[in-house]
Amino acid sequence: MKPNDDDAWIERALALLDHSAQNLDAATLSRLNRARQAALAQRPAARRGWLVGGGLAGAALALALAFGIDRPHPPLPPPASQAAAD
Amino acid sequence: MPATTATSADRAQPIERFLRDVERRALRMAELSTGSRDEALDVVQDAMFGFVRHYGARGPGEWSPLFWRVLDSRINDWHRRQRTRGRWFGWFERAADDEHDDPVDAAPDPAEPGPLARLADGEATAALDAALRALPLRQRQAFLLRVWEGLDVAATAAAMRCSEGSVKTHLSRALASLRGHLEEHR
Repeated sequence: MKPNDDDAWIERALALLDHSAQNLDAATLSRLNRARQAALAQRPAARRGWLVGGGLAGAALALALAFGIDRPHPPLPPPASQAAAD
Repeated sequence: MPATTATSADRAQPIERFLRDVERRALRMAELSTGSRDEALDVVQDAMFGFVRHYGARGPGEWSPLFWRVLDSRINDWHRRQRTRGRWFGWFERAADDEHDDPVDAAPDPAEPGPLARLADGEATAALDAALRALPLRQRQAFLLRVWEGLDVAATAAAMRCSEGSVKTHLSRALASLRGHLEEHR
């Protein structure tokens, strides 16, 4: 909404509000920054990234375990005494 | 997948820029409603979390009214909690206040020209804050969203979850009340 020319006090009020918002102290700005970063860290895309990464890592671990356990072991060499008898 | 990663990174930058752009005004709005910088920071943080969680995936063109809607909702929640707290603790607070009530202290000084008559910029900000804080919540939000934030009537109504007619009524009353308070700044 654009204030009318008659409403100079609105222009003044807006200027004061803008000034107050632009001149916040450093501690407040730091807390705002931390709040913003924390909010962005839990955004859906980031969460999906974690889930996908975790899922892939879990699947890779499961595959590694499955193949490691099921892989046929190489046949053991015959005992030395039996080899000598042969 | 590199394509997906690039898309996510591209989306993160606009939303961070958006929050960085609105956060200071959001803080001032919350502060005018709560009367406390710490409470306002908590309200704004809640609003940022809610906005990112629920609307972060929307297009940037939709963000502004949605963010102000979430903030308005959090401010309303804060007031509801205060009212509930007031119902429980009001009696004790009134009893404590009674001890300090002095009718002579409360009487206006006839020699005082008025709270806004001799104010420079810094004091004018404080006077404006006081005038805004004196408004009912809905009037204050209508003024701040429509006049300061520059939302149109429809977007203000969406942010405040009320009809466009209600926005006009709240705004008209807010302007009349503020004009009365700040006439001495003309």
